[in-house]
Amino acid sequence: MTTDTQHGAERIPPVRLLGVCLGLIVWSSCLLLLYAALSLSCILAPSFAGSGRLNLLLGLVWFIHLALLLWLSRRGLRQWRAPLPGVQPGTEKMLRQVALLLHGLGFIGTICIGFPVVMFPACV
Amino acid sequence: VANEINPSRSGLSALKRHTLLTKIWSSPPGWRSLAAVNHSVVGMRFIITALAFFLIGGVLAMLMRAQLATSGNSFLDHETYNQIFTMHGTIMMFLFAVPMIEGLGLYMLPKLLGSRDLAFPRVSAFGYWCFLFGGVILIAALACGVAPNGGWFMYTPLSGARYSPGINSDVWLLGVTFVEISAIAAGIEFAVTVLKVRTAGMSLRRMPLFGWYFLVTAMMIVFGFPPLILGSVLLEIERAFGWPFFDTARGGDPLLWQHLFWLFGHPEVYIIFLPGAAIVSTLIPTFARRAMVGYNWVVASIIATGFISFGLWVHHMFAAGIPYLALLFFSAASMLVAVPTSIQFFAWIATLWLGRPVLRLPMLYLSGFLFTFVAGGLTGVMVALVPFDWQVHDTHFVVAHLHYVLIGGLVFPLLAGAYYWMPLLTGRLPGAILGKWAFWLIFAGMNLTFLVMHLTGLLGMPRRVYTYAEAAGWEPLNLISSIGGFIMAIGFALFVLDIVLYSHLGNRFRRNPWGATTLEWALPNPIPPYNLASQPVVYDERPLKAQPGLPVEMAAGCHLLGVPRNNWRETLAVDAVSGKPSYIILLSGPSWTPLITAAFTGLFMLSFLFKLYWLAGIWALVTFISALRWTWDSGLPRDWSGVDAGAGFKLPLHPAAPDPPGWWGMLIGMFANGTFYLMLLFGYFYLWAVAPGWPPPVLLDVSPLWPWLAALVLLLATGGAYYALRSNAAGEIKKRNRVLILIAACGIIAVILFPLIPITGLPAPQTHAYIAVTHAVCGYIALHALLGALISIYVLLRCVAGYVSAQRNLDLRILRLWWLYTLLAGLSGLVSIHGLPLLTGAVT
Repeated sequence: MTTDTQHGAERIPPVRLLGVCLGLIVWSSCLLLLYAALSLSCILAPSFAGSGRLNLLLGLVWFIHLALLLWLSRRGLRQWRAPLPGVQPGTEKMLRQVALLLHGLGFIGTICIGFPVVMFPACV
Repeated sequence: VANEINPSRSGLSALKRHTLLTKIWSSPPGWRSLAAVNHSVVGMRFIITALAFFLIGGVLAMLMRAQLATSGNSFLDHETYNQIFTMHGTIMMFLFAVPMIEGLGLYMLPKLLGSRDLAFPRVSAFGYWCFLFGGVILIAALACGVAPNGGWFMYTPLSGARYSPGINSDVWLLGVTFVEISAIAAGIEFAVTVLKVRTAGMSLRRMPLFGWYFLVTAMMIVFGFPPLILGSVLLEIERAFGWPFFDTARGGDPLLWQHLFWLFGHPEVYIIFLPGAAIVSTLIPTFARRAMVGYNWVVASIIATGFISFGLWVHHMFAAGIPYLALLFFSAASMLVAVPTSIQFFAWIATLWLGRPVLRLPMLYLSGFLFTFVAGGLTGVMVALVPFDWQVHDTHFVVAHLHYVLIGGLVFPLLAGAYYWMPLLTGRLPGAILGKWAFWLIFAGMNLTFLVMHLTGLLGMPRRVYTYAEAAGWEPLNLISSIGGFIMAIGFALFVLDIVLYSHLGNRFRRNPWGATTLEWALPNPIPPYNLASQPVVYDERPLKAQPGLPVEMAAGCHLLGVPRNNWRETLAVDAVSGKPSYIILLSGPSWTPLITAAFTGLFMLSFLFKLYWLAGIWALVTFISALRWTWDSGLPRDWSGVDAGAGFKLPLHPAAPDPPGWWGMLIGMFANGTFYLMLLFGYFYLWAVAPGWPPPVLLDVSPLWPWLAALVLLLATGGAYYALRSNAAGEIKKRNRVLILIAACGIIAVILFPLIPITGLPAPQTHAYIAVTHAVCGYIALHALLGALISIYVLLRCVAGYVSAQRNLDLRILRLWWLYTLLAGLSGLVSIHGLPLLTGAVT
């Protein structure tokens, strides 16, 4: 009789799945913050919004998220290129590749949703 | 600690093993089969019932098309037409599409994942009865002429008490919420099953894509349905008790309903599409005769679709007066979702391109899917453009678009799947002739109906009008649409006839007629109630290709859990990511409690519908007691050491595991609950920021002692839950039991304190939305405290009965999780209702 650990498969914590989705979580955060900041400012502080400072604030929110996603994507790329472990190499490779793809998609998606803040006036 | 009581019976013949396993896993016969919980039985019930509702919804569609075929038609009056179009949408979305995918998942997932059943068989059965009873309430209302009549999205103020004074809207709010319980149950079931209840060696990389699709769908249900449940609850409270959440005159806002509805409604489209795509991704590799191209890319695109679909809800509100810049955020997000969808399409095309495709009947339906869904996707990109959306908003163009997406994204894949898995279900092969006729009639009828409808919409015909003037010039196009609709209906009738006929008359087949490589085709036919005689260790994404001898080996019991013992319903649990065997789950057998609990829930809904609120309260309590009774005998009354799982594995039983299915289920259930509460707080902040009539005329005025005391009581209860777990681990039984009593007492005090805060500090909740929301927040926390107190007493009773020990501590961990959640909800609620007035300067 052997115990299960002798079959060589090491545990990979399920929280890794959350890490895989980080790029999209950052994208979601950017969308929500942009929408909330714009809507609230237009209602609660119209003078602030009308002066163009709201666009600056939204641009800053956008830039911070882009920077975070760029960092995540670079980190994901480094991890993807790193040697695979001896156990569960296929699963590990998949997790790294999916994470990299999702970080990249999050980055592109954040560019798409955020670029209007530098082109169009707020609260119109 | 007892060791396993049955000696190894490795000398069992395949037939003897089959007899023993069948005896353990069979559902009771005759009327007692209502107590069945087996995933095949429950899944098939879902599928057949959803199909019946689909046929009813189809008849309603034909009635509408008959009415609209000519101008000035008096075939239906406006009230009947209103009820019919509302019920058509409601039935197709809530009683067909979602339950059908639930049925598909419940039936297929264990077979594809190589397990014997789902993680929570009784929860599935409960979900089915909720779905059935909720559906019956809605259909009965239609038969009685009091069906919902405000459109399938029930916009306020039309659906409010002033403009819809009858019970029509109540039927929708209560009936749909009842059905949604079923969806949440399925979401939890799918998520835990896919993560934990797979066969050995099936890492996430080796899992069929079908599993990935259902995992993401499950999480979307868990996070997507609570906003609508909250909206329905708030609107029903407004209608029943006059609390003005959506009434502008008293500080409410109808747009809050739209936000809550579409926070559910847009993910819902992808909740329906992803299971359709799961079928496509399962069938295409089989008929292309090669592995799926770009497995990892497809996994990434499934996850991305799930996430991005939550960022699109505002594109249903482009005409609602939101700032242009915000519209651009959501317009961009709406186009972005085409990227992951396209990745899947290119992967399917590449698989066909690089494979050796054969055009069998299911592939014909898949080609219908590819064409129709792409067309629907293209019009989706068009309506994602704000100026174009304004032009076609609320016209037949949108009706045409959504039918292309839903028929293309779900119906064609379902029909393909029905033909593909029909041999598995019936033991007979489908015929080719009737199936092809059905396809061409459906395909031609569908395009005739809805392609033309784009033009009707572009010419300006609005949705939801029961007739139109001849001078509008819409008659020829409407007539063509109606003819197309009837052709499509004939096609569906032919499909049903074909399936029924060939289920009885089709040729019998030897195993695996399509040459598929997934595990469901390794099962014997007819499929035994236990699915697999032994659970294999798999080494590849396509196990039947890599291990062709698997069907025989499994039947011979060469793999895991091949030796039945103790009348236990055993199935493997694995590490969520690596697929390493973790423990053995002992599943529950047939039980009446799911049916009884659902029946009590139904009585609660009916009492509320007929405004017998005191009776509704009683049924709510009875339902909760019934649910506790249901879980009473779960787990084991004594400790067990690890048991022989076969194939060299020795594994613990699930009550002694660190992460048993119950723990996962509770955690995922808490995500749904937390989303519900977060949406309630969102409503509070939203109304404060956006609704007219704020800040409110009066603000909460209570002594600071009350909220501090309430927070302290919650803190004590939560600390007690931690302490009880610690005492249990240390073997201090008396101390543990005393702490449990203390926790219950704290819960009761919190139940008194929280409602007192708004009752003593504010006028009646009918006067302003602020007061209503404050009551709702405090009521939510009080309800959780009450349930926490009752659960504490229940856990104490289970401790006394021997279901809890240092090794088997799941009850105490769940109690701790519950109280931790209640504490967080309580603190955030108190900060919101006391902090926001201070923050905004409304009080100093």
